[in-house]
Amino acid sequence: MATRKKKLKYSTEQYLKWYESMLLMRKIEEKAGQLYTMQKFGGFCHLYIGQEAVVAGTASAANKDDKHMTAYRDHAHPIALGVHPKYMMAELYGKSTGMSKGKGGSMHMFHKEVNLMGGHGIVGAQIGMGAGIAFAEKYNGTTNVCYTSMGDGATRQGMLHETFNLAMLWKLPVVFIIENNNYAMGTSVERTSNVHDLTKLAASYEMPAEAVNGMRVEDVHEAIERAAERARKGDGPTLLDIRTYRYKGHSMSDPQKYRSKEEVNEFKEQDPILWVLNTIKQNKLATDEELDAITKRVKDMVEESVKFAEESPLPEGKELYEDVYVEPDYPYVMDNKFRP
Amino acid sequence: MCTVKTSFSTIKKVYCAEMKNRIFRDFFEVMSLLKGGGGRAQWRPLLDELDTLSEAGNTPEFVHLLLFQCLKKIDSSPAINIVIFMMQHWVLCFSAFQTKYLTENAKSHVRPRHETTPSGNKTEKRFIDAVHDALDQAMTKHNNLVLMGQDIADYGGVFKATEGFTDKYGKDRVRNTPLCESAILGAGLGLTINGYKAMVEMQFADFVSEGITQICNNLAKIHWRWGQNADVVVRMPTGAGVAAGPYHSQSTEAWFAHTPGLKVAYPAFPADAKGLLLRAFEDPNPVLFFEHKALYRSVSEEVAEGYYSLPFGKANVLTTGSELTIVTYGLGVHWALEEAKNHPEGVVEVIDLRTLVPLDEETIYASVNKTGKVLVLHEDVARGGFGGELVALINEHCFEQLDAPVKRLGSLNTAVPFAPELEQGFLAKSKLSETVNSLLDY
Repeated sequence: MATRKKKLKYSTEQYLKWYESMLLMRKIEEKAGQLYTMQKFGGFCHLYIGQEAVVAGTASAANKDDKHMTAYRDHAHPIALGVHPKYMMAELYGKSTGMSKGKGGSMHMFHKEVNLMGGHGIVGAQIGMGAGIAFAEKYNGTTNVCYTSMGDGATRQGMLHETFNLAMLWKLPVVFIIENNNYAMGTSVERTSNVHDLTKLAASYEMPAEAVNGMRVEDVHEAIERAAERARKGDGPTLLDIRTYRYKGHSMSDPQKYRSKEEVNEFKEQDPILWVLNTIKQNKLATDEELDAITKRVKDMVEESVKFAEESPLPEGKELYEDVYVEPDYPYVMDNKFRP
Repeated sequence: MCTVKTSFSTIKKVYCAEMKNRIFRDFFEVMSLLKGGGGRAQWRPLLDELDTLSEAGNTPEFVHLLLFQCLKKIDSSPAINIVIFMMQHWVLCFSAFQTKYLTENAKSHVRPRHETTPSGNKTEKRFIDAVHDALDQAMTKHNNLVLMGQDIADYGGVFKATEGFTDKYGKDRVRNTPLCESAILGAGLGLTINGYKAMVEMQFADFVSEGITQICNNLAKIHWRWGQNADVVVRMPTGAGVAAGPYHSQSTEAWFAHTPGLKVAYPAFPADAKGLLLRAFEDPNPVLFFEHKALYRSVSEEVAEGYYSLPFGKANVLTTGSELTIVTYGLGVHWALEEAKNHPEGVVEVIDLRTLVPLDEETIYASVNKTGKVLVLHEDVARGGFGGELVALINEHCFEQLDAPVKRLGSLNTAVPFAPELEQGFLAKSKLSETVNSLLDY
């Protein structure tokens, strides 16, 4: 055991942080799934369960001022960046304290203080925005990077190709992350194109690309570091095909007829959280009491989040008329006679 | 394959010298000399003439001798350069017929003065020059403004709205982009999230269909979703009347006026174009800015120098009348003014909306309540056009003051035809007199 401990590349603190963060994502989403089934809230609910190592590894490798852009499977991203999950939960409930004041819902998680720029519900449409954010960093002469995430389904959108071309042409400091869970809703990567290896998508643009084991947070962390380093040096974007898996359906209404239980179980055996936990245990990075304390903290945060969401007020009626434009008094939004 | 052997400015310089400093618009008149100048007995589209020229291998047979000679002076292969010259100035798709129409119209545009622009030094500017001037002022005022579009850098944009900008502001701020409307609109939004302002030029407003997702989903809704504003101006060279066919002539303002979160401006005059475009850059919301291609070089007026901006949501009453209100915008304004001249003074009141979102409802209602009859006119096809919205509002607010049914006139519910004769039949203008007369007689 001692020999394995020596080989560990990351600190005890890092492992414990990964563990706690990923456990929190897992537990809050399990809770969200339950609450959704109990009809505590409606709308959409796309769970990230199984994919936690992707955001955990990205967040740990990122600098504080780096920017993050993602698609609609976005519940875990704010948590990875250290935001209390209660704001995410409140958004699921459509409450005024939610990240989008109850005006967006599940696919609209943002948090500018931690540079999480969404949360975007149109598949692939966020890719160009990510490049734009990186473009601004380049103008500003910073060494910040924009991590732009998408699912494997989004890679078949034209936006990806337009943006890849632009990002390489202008050498933008962006890291394109495919959270490749192998299914665009219920259609596997193999059924969406005859190119199954998504790293090849970068080849036309001579963009560096690599495949990453998305079930191992260390692998993700390292790949992100390499890509970010390239971007910071001014060498432009990288495509990371981070191969992961979601245990749950695409959404809450997915019967999952497109895959077998065996396949799901095969991936569950490689569970990213269990892997970190085993590493911690085998290397005695924490005592049982310390691990229990983590479990307790996570449980408390989940409960606090649900309580916060349930007790938060609904958005006021006037919210209907606010935020359509920047000006608070836009007289042209509604007919005068309906004005409250 | 065309290659630019001589820069546009050189051609223009030599040409202008030859023409004794006549302004470029006179080029159309030069071409009109073809008819009586020993060229053809019948009008032919310019494109045909140019094709003939290319095929014939530098023969000046069908091109005005003077123009041909001055081109020949600076380059041995004028056939190639004249094509580029035409393309740069969007003359290539003009038919001779259209050219004549536009030139005549340009002279008839006399704008009743409603002082909305600052006094002080003014210079005569064409619409395109006013847009150019506004962009120039905006680039100076907002040093975080980035322009993006296809061939807007050294080429200066297909309509020359950004000519000379790379020299003045550098290629970093005046960005040529690949052909990817969606990506640059998305990148524009990304820039503004991160503290910049962006202007994205659609080469033609029709091409905006490639970017609808970005505009209607991302730009329009981002402030609603998380309070992040989208400080993007999308410039839209729009409209028909230049024989550009179905994919380069459409009016697409209704697509965006319908989408909450966007603002839509559509000036009809150079001074308004400058003031409203500068206002668009001051506005923190996404603005769709429509510029009619046929007005670029056919209307000109005195435009104040320096920086000024005009408010959004303020219509302009261009003629006062007591019998009939015509509510319109864009090229429709010029049609309406022309039509108003067919009636005694004080009959027709023409309102130029200038911006569709926000909409100056008060001015419309005040006028309709006065005249009791109203025609809503636009170039866009009638069905589902912005006119329907105006008609609904007028009915809701002025019903009791109306002396006739609210009338709407848009273009035919078809694609925009290419053939100039067909296009004239397509455009709402062809039925304007008839409609106005029937309303006045009602």
